[in-house]
Amino acid sequence: MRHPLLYTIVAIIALALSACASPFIQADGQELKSSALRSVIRVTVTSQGYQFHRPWQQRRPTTQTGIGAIVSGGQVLVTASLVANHRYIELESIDAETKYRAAVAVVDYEANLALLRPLDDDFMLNRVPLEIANPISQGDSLSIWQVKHNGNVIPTTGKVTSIELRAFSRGNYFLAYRLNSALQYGANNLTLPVVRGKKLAGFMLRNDTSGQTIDVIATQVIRHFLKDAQKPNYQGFPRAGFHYGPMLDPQLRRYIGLPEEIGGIYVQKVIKGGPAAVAGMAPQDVITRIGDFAVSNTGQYEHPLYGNTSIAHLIRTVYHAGDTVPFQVFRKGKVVTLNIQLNHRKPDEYLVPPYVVDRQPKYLIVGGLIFQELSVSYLREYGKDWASRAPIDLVYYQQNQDYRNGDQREKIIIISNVIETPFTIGYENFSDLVVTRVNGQTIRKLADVTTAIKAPQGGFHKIEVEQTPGILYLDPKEVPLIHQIIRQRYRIPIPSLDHLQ
Amino acid sequence: MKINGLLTYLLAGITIVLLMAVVPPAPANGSEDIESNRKCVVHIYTVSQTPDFTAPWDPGRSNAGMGTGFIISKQRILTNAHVVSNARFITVEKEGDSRRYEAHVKFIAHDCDLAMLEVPDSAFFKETAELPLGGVPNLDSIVTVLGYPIGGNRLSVTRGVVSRIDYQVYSHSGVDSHLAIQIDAAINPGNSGGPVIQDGAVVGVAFQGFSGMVAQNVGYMIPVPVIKRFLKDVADGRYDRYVDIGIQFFPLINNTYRRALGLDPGDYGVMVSEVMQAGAAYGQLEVGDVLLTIDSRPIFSDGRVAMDNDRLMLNEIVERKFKGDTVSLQIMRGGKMTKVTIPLNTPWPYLTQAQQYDVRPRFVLFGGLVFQPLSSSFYATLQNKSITLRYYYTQFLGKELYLKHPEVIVISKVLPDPINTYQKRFVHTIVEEINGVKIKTLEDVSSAFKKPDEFYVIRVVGDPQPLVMEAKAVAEARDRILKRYRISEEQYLGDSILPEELTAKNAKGQ
Repeated sequence: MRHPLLYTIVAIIALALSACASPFIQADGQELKSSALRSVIRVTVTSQGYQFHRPWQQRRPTTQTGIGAIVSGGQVLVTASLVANHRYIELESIDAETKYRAAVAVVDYEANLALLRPLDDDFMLNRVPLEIANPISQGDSLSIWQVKHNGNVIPTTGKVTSIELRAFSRGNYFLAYRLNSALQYGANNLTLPVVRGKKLAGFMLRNDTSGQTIDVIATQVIRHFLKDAQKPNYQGFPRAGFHYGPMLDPQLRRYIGLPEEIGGIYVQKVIKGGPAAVAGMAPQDVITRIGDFAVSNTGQYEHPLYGNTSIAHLIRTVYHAGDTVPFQVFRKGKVVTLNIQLNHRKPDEYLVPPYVVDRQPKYLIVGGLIFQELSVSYLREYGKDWASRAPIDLVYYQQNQDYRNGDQREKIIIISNVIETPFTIGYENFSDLVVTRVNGQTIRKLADVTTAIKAPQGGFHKIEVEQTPGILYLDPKEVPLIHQIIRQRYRIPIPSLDHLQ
Repeated sequence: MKINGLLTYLLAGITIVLLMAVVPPAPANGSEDIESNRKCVVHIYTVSQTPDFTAPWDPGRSNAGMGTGFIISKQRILTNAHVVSNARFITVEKEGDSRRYEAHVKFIAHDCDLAMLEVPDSAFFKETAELPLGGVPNLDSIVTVLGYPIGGNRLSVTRGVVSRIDYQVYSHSGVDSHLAIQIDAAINPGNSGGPVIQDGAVVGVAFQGFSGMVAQNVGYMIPVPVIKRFLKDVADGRYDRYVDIGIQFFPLINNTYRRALGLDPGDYGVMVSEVMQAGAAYGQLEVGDVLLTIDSRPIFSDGRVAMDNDRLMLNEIVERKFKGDTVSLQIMRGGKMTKVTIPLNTPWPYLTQAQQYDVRPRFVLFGGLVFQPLSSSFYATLQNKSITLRYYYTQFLGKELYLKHPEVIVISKVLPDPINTYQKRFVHTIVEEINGVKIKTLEDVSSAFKKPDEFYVIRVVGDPQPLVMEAKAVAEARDRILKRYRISEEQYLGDSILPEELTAKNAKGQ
């Protein structure tokens, strides 16, 4: 550590300099600084994700810093992306005077929000939680707070130019405010509070430096998250469980026999076992009302503040998981009301989970073959443009998972790779093979492999895959030998077959 | 660096000099009688027209190209298929004669990039000579390439050694692999179709190079076995294409795998890993069968057989056969040996993956929507390929998608009109059914729209919401759309690559 006096001197000189330049801003800056000191906090997170192609292996630890907002209850609100796969979280007062430890209390990777729980009792000493601002309107000015190492707050102010749903994470659309501004000074972190007056109006979601726009997580989304986070079991933002398309085409409307004056959207697919399916929604239904709102033929409703807004906001943000919502549908000339109890669809409830975070990927190694569950996190290993670079049959599974009628599988099990040993010569090019059966038993989830591998047939393990060569064989007697080689030469741990239970 | 380079040159020079000194007779010194050879070489000028798959009704863009050909017995001119593909007008020129003679394509084989031209004016062949066909040259022997590559108008001669003899993808079709010989003589655009000569005989047809920065001095020629096969195939007056067994096999080099199949360790046998339903072996071979011999030649565990003093892929046995020929295989199934004889055919689904030439794009226009079958040429025009389209194209063979969709019909375009304002989101989707009829071919699309109905309801793959067109509106918009976009015809159903039994039924329905 350096001498504290030096810092003080530098600070005084800096203050003096800025005082000469513009005395008014200095006063503002001081006030901003002291209010920020009480209500926001520097959050430093060291994270370590897994390499899905080598699921036993962790990535290099990386450290990110963001600015969290202290909210009522003495907890710290940050973006979920900051704490994904965290190993260590440290809170630090923005003037770098005091440090605290913290743990993740609630995290939502779909809405990109997380709540941290400080572990030190004196955390709230001299701190004032930020209130959550009222809903923001178009034209309002918002300030993004960047904080320098010395605790000086650098606000970037911009006007809200549009308010609409944007992708928070893949396939998850929530309300966002778009600001027409660019960050005042380059930042390598994106977790920054957005403030209106002295209230929290959002968090920075995305910073587009080329287009000079900044997207901000809307207060509505934050309120929803904070409210649900109070409950003992956090569920997440709800879904109704259907896919829909627009009903603009008058030819389609006449074909279905939908009266001119009725709006509505076309139900393409009702997800098996989901809330809509439970309530009896069926494909070809036309949804005309949700709750108190009429649904337009493009899937919008009249938001009291913002006008035309996607029904995704109504279903996912206005309502909460567990709420029962009346859906009015037009079905074969009749109007039917379905009461749908919304709930959150957990990543594990997908055939191909949209994300695997905060845990090691599930895997098995049998005789050098690496068995894994297919997930989007796995596909992402193929790079940013994974949808065009990953094997097309895996991407096609991912894209069409809800349309695979009668698919008895809970997950897609793949042999992701082969660890080469003298016993697997000729298998070295196998990767991304979709496993259908092992020793005659159908594979619906990874644990099925564990069971099946205990019952070799005719002295061999017979593994059937969708891709060429169709069948792979292993000798159960050789498997321990192969594992020994893998442990010795590659120093790769072989998890016990039963570790999944 | 410079000195090193110089040294290498010096050493290389020395090696060649030494070789020449050590091996005195003609074969390896590579000097050919250029004066007699130049009488056999032909300069080919082609005006071609490439169809535009994004505007299938248009005649296409014209290009002028040049290539080389050579004269073999019976005044036949051989060249590459790609030199004269989509040709509308061909002229040839010989050495020592400034006149140009019109030529016609007599036979063209896009799957092995060979074509035969004829010149009606017999005056052309005056004072020309014919090149005999040789054999497969030895590795490291010297060959001479004649042709008219870029860089000038007169005959060019380059020389190199035979570097490698192996299978290569023939890039003209993009899907066919045959034997090809790699030489280190430069082969440049314009060389195509020219003879590669050794000891006064043709040992290959120069046809493709290696593009990219990673390789240098890599040129390829079509070897004599492929040329002879072409000549034999066309002897009956038509070209029938290559034939195939229609299987994929898995090399059996893993000992555990061998034991599981009941095989001894050793270098023999491959396992059948896929049997194509449209292929010749369907019903006779099964996945898991072990192939032991092909036409009595033992198969090694990597799928090669001993042939021509070399180990060549077992496909080479089939490669040299013709439509109607059979191949006999000794197989082991469930521990028992049997022999099967398979009459060979051309598995048509491969053709959808091959680049197409000398055909017009197939299409149907209805209410401003353009329906086109998914083909290699059409696929190549797409900018952003949807996952579904990529899946149907790349997995067409592997997942046998051709069983349900012999032709994958794509809504390729919407020509804007008030009646199709809301159909743009269906662009690049695949048609599953029209008015309840499963769509298997473009003929199905055409006949579905000819059946009178109030609504035409089109269902596409992966989007359960139908595309609905009102018959009345479509009829009213018909002339308007044709006129606005200056389209002379509403459909072209010719040039189908499907076997007749798959389209005949529909043709009757029209």
